[in-house]
Amino acid sequence: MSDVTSLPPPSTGDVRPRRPRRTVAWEWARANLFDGPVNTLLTVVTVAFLAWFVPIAVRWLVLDAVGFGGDVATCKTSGGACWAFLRAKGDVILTGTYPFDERWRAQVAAAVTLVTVAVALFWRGGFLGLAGLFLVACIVDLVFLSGGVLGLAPIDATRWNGLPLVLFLSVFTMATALPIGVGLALARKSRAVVVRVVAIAWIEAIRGIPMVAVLFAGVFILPLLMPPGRHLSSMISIFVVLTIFHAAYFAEDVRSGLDDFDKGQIEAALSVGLTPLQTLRFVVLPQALRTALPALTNSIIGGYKDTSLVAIVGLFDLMATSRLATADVEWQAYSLEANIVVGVFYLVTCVAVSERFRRLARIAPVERSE
Amino acid sequence: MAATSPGEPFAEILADRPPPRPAIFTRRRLRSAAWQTALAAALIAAGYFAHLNITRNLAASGVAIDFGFLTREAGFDVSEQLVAYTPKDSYARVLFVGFLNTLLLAATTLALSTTIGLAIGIASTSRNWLVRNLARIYIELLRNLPKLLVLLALYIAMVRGLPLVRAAWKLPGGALLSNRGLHLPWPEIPVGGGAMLVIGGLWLVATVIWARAVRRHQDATGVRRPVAVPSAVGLAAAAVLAHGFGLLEVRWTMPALTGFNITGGAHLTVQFTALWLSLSVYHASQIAEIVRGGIVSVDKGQREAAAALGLRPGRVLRLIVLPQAIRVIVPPLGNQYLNLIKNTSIALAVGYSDLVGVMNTAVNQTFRPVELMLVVMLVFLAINLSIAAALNWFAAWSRPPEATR
Repeated sequence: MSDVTSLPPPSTGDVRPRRPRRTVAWEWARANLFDGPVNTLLTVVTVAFLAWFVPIAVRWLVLDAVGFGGDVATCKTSGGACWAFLRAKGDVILTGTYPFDERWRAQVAAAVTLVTVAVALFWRGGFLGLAGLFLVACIVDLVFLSGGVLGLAPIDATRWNGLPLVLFLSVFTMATALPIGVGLALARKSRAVVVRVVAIAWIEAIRGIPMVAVLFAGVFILPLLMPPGRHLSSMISIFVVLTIFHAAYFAEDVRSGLDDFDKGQIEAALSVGLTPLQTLRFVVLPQALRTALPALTNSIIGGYKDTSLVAIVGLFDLMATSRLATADVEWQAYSLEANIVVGVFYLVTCVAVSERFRRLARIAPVERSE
Repeated sequence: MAATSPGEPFAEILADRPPPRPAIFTRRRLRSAAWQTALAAALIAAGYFAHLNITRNLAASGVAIDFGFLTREAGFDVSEQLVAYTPKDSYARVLFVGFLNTLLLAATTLALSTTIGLAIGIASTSRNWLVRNLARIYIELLRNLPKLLVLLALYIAMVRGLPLVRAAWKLPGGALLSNRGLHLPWPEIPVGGGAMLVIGGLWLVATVIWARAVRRHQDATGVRRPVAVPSAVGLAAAAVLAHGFGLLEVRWTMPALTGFNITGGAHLTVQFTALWLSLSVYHASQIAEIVRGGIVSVDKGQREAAAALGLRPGRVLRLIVLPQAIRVIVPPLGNQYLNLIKNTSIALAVGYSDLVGVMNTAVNQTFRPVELMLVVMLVFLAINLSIAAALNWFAAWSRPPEATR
C-alpha cells in the first residue's frame, strides 16, 4: 500500500516532462504497474488473484451455466449458475404473491414508478409540476396495485410484493419526505422557540435510532395512536414512518446547504423588494439545495437501498420474494442466482440515479445563468 | 429568514420612516408569541389525544403502561449470550443480553471495517493502475448494494455451502469451520492471570518510556532508533520468562467433535460470523471512500517535500499524509460509525439476538411496545451520545499543534 506516496521522477526546474503523444503499451505498464519494487510486487499479487478468481467466476457465470432454456435436471448436474431458475421463478421474484392472473398490474405499477423517476431526473419544469407528477404517478400505482375501481379486482395490500412494493415505498415516501425535510430544516433555523424545538426533537430522535426500530415503531406504536376500533394497515403505517424517517435525514442535508448560505443575499433580496416567501423560493432554496445536493444524493441512495429493510417487519421486498422463489424444494439451491439478479438491479439503478445527480450538481450553476 | 428587516441598517437615511420603537412588546413579537403559544397548545393537545388513544387501545388488550414487567420471567431463549442467561431470567436481563450482543457486534465490525476500509481507501489512491481500479470496483460495488442483500447472500451461502458438523473443515491452527459457525482454539489461563496483567502493564510503561527516549534522541541527533522491534522482543521475552518460572500458564482448549456437537474453544455462530463479515465489508466500502477523500485532500506539495527530505514512501504515508488526512477523515468517519452501530439491528434478519431482535420477541410476548421501544430508543440515544463525545475528544486531540497553542 505504501506505493501511494511514491513520486514521479524528480523534474528539472519548472519544466514538466513532456508526455509522448502515443504511449507505447509497455511504457504505460512500466509507469502504472511496475514502478518500483513495491508496485511490482502488488501487481504480481493482484494478477495472481485475478488469474485465480476470474476463471472461476466466468466458468460459473457463463461457461458451465445452464441458460434460460434449460431445466432443473440439467441444473442439478451442471457445476455452474442456473439461469433457467430465473425463467421459472422470475415472476415470483418480481411480484411475489401478487395474484398470478393479475400480475401484469403489478408490473405496470413498477414500470410507472420507474418511468416517473426517469422523468423526474430530467425534469425542467417547476416544483409544482414535479409534485403533480409524483402525485399522479402515486395514484396510478395505487389504482393498478389495489384495484377496486375501473373494473379491476381488488387486491389486498399484503399481496403487494417484490419490485412494485420496493419502488412504490422508496420513491413515494422520499418524494413526500423531501418537502417536509426542507420545511424541517427551515424550522430548525426558525426564531420561534417552539418550532425550533419540535424540529430538533424530530430530527435528532429519528437520526438517533436504527431504521429497523423506526419500522417497528410503525408496526407497533402507530396503530395504537389511532382512535379505538379504527384499523391501520401496515402498508400505511410503514409509508408514514418511512416518510418521517427520510424527512429527518433530508432536513439534516438541507441544513448543511443553509449553513453555507451567504446571509447578505437575503438582505439584498429583501431590499430589492422581494417578500420573505419570494426570497426563500427564488434566492435561498435554489442555492441551498444545490449545495446540499451531494449530501441529499447520499441520503436518497441510502434510503432507496434501506427500503429493503421492510422485509424485517414482514413486508415482501425483493430479498423476501427471492426467498419465496427458493422456498420451492426443486429450486432450493439457486438463491445465489436470485441474489445476483436483485443485486444487479440495485447496482444499475443506484449508479444511474447517483450519476444523474452528480451531473445535476455540476451543471446547475450553468443552468441558472441562462 | 423572514425576520430580517430590510430598512433597519439605513434608518437615518430613510428619513421619512420612523426609527424602530425601543419597546419590549413590539407588534411583531406579540404576534410571534401568540402563534407559538397556539402551536404549543396544538402539540400538547395532539400529545394528549395520542396518549388517550394509546391507553384506551392498550386497555382494550388488557394492559396499561407499566415497566414492572421488566422483572418478570422472560421465558424465551437467545441465540448467544456473553453473560449467563437462561429463559428463567427476567426481561431486563434478556434486554441486557441483547444490548451486550449489539455492542459485541458493533465493536468487532467497527474494528474489521475500519481495517479493510483503510486498506481499500489507501489502495484506491495507489499509483498502481490495477490495484487502484480493483479498489474502486470494490467501493462502487458495495456502496450500491443494500446491506440486507449482502448479509442474506453471505448467510445463505454459509448455511448451504459449509459442511455439516461431522465433516467440519479443519483449518490450520486447529480451528473448525462448519455450518454451525467457526470454532476457534481459545487460551485459558489457570495460573498467573494477575501476573500477566502486571507484566503487560510493565511492558506498556517500558515501551512508552523507550519511545519517548527515542523521540528525544532523534530530536537531539537526528538518528532514529527502532521502537517496534525491541518492544515486541521485550514482550516475547517477558512471556517466555514468566512461563519458565511458572508464573504464567496458558492452556489452549481445542475445539473437538464430541457426539453431535463441537465442544471446547471459542464459538462464533454462523449468524454472528455472517453479520460481522457482511457489515464489515459493506461499511468498509463507505469508510474507504472517506479515507480516499481524506488522502486526496492532503496537498501534493507535502508529499513532494517529504520525499525531497528523503523519507521513504511508507513513512511519507504514515508520518505526513495520514496525520493530515485524519482531520478530514474523522468527522464523516464518526457519522459512519454511528450508522454502523445502528445498522447492527439488521441482525434480526438472520436471527442473531441483538437488542432490537430481543425487543421484537419481547413485544410479541408481552404486547408492551411502548415501554420496550422507549428502552431501545434510550439505549441507542446513550450509545450515540457517548460516540459523539468520543469523537469530539478525538477531534480536539488531533487538531494541529498550531491550533491548540
